[in-house]
This record gives sequence, C-alpha cells and structure tokens, in this order.
Amino acid sequence: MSNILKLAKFQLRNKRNMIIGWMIGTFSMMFLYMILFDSMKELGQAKLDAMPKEIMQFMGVESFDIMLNWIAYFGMIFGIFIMVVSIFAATYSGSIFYNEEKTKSIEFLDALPVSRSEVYYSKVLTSFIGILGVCISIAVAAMTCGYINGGDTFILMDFLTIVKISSFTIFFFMAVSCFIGGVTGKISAGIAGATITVAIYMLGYLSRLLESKGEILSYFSPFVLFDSTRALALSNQTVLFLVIYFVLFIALIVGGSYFYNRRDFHI
Amino acid sequence: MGVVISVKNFKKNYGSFEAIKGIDFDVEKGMIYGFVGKNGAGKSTTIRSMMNMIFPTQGEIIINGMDCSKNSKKIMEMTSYMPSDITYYDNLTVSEFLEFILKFSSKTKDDMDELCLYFELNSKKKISELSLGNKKKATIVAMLLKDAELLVLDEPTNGLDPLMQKKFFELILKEKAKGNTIFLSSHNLMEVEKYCDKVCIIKDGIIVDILDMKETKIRYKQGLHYTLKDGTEVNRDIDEDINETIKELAKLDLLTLEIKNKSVEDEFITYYMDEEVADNE
Repeated sequence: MSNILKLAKFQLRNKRNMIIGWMIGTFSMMFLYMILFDSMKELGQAKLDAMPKEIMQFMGVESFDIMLNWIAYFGMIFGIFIMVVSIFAATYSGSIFYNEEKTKSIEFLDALPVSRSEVYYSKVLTSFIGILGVCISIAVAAMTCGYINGGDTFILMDFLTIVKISSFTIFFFMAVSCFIGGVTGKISAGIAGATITVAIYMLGYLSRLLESKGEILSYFSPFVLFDSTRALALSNQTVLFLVIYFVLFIALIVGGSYFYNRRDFHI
Repeated sequence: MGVVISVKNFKKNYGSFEAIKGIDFDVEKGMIYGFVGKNGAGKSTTIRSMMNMIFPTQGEIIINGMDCSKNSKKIMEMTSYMPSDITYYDNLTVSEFLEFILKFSSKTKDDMDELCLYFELNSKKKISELSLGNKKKATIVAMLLKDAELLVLDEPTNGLDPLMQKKFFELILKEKAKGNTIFLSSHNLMEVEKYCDKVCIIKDGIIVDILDMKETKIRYKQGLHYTLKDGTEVNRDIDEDINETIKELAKLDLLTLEIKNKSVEDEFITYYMDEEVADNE
C-alpha cells in the first residue's frame, strides 16, 4: 500500500497542471451556468419551449418546468457536465496507462522495487484522485451558487444525492479506460475509452428517443440509469443497477490488473 | 565467483518474428559484462526481459537465483536499471524526480547533491529544459541513487561528452570494486574493450561469441598489413610464433610491411557487418 501511495503521489505531481486546469475550468463553467439561474428562469423557459423535443432528450431533459426549480435546473446542467467529465475521465485515465508505454517512461517505473500490481493500482488511484478533484470542484461551484441564488428550491440533501449517484457514471468510465490500459498498451486507452463513453451516451439518447420501446437500451447506459431524476427518486430499480454497475466497476479494475500483470509492455 | 545472471534457452517471439532464438549465458558476480550487437540484434529485448517488462516466450532468466518473471520486485530491490531512451517526466524538476527515487533507497539527499555536483547537473531545472546530455546525467544519478548489487546499463554514455564519459566509468569502476556486477550494453566498442571483463556478442537473436577480454587482448595484440609487388594487400593476425611469421614473410616479394597493434574493436566490427560484407572483406 505504501508503494502505491508513493507512486500515485509521484504521478499526481506529474499530472498536476492538467488536473488543476480541469478543476479551474469546470469550476468556472459550472459557476457561470448556475449563477445565471435567476436570469435564466424566464429567458430559458421561453428558449426551452421553442426547442425540438429531440434536443431536450439529448440533454436529458424530460420536463419544461425545470427552470423554476434550482435542483431540477442543476440536474439538467449536471447531466451535461457528467457527459463532458466522463469523456475527460476516460481520456485522462487511459493516458496515464498508454502514455507511459508510448514515451517508454514505464521503463523507469517498472525498474523501481515495486510490483506490477502496485504500478497498476497506483495508476488507478492517480486517475481516481484527479477525477474526484474535478468532481468536487464542480460540486463546490454549484453548491456555492445554490446558497447564493437557490432560495427555497435549493435542498442540500437532494443536491448531494444527485452529485453522489450521478457522479458514479464518471468513475465507471474511468474504470473502462483503466481496464483497456491494463489489457493492452498497443492502442490508446484514452481514445478507446472516450469512444466507448460517447457510444454509450448515444445509446442512452436513443433509449430516451424511443421512450418505452427503448427501455432495454437504457440498461446499458449509466447516463440514463443514474441521471438526476432517477437519482432523486432512488427507486429499487436504480439501487439494483447501482449495485450491478458497482460490481462491474470492480470487475473492470481487477480485470485490468490481471491482464497488466501478464502482458508485455508495448515499448 | 557466483553467477548473478543466468540466461537459459531464452526465446522471444513477436508474433511470427523470432527476436531471440534461444540464447544462454551466465554473468558472474563482480564483473563488467559487455553485451554487444548491432541494432535489432536482440540486446534491448533481452534486457527488457531481465527487467520484467516483457515475458520470455520460452526459457528463463534467473537473477540472484530468482526468476525474473516471478520475483521482479525482489530483483529490483537489488538491481538498478538505466534505459537507453530518456523520456522521463517533463513536468518535474530534476530534484523532484531524484527525491522520488530516494523514497525507494537508503541513500540520502546529500548523496543526491554530491552526485549532481559530480556530474555538474543543475537539479533545480525542469527535466523538459535539459539538453540530451543533461537528461542522461539525471538518468545516471537516478541509477546510482538506488541500492544495487547489479547495474544493468543500456547505452549509458550515449549523448555524454568525453569528460563525463570518463567520470561515469570512474564511478562504475568504484561500483565494481565494491563487488557489484555491471551488465553493460553498448555500441561504444572502445569503452567495451576498455572496461569489460567479458563480452557477449549477439547477432540476429543468437549469441555468436563470448569473449574473455584478458585472453582476447593478448590474442589480438598485433596484426600485419603488407602489400606484395603484384599489388595484393593482405591483413593477418600474428597469432602464432612471431619468428615463424618473419621467416614466412622473408619468402614473399613484399612492397610494404606494417606491423600494427590490433584493437579488439576491430574484432567486434566483423560481428556488426552483414555476413556477405564480412565474407567479401
């Protein structure tokens, strides 16, 4: 464990500029979106009314009343952030694995008195901490605005429930990229992970378009399964899917380690 | 002397391509062992297998009695590896990078500063700002900061100026004097000739020769180059009784005669050439 922490700390130090950049960028964007809640109430409602239904579904919006409620407005904006940050998570995690082999700096890490498992889990931890930092900065930006302009419709517990459950999607795609990085160094795990992320997002969009006919498609898209509406409702089905996806998350992480220990580095 | 590295029937395939076709050699404790061969001969593949970066297709590599593929962590506790390519972490400063190495070593920050001073390396600079030579120095310092009984060096002096090369080998000889073993892969044949006790020559994935440098230096001490009056030029080694050679030469119709000290480097060069070229010569 000590070696994993040492390695993760070292890798985080090396990635600090990128992580800090994303934290500042996402904080600013979320703050900008949420601070405009009051002024968006009237203007946004008119705009949304004029929007085609398909575009609304693409954004994960099912009701036109969201502009009146801070939590609902946050849920819509957060849904977009979830997609963007999931792509970041997949790219960032994948690059932690792939770039190390592409630049051959893995020769340095692997020559330290550490096991391959320790190198692998340090990379998972590096990914996790970096992504957690970005998620926290988004949540802090939104929460600050909630206290400023949320009024009665800002309910902290609801806000935290959405953040906790919907953010899992981001970490799931981190695990997908970690798995790909564990399995192979020949292809860019970041690009592969990001492609899968977009494909699964599109699958969720399709399930929304098809409504009840597309129900089964939604089971394959955590973007839909853990969106803000379902996170708040927290039905038995959502809890069941949370458990299933969590097991899948663990399986991807552990599976990646299994392959990472047994394959040649691509150097 | 005990055997530190033992390579047994080691084969490595990449798909259908056989990079290493079954090689065997032993490296004894306390020696500087050269590993020589042209590009693509299989040197880096062998070294990367020793370091557990790639796995043997067949055979095994044993270091200090432990299989490289199964006990790499323990092996790395007593091994220091210096890769040929220097692509480290550009966002870090040299001291951040070296201080990280110290976390896995009993060496101190004073040792680090001493080595940086010795190699005239500015540790406050970012790695991305360093020249090739200075990046190489950072790699050397990192390698020397580890607690190692075995140093595996892949092209260690490539990119270093002659003074730094000399300083580097002074330290390597000190490591040897401590009883540590050095496995040196290099294209610099002069340094191989000068510092190695034994040299293994690999070509197209097979070992073509293993030379004991003491014997080789004696054997190839002198050579002859002469031109006959009909214009024929001949190169030959003096590898028998020199008096007999002079008697033979007396019978020839010579135009020129040159006796030269032959370098072991000349011997290595023949292994670098393609077979056809070597045959023609």
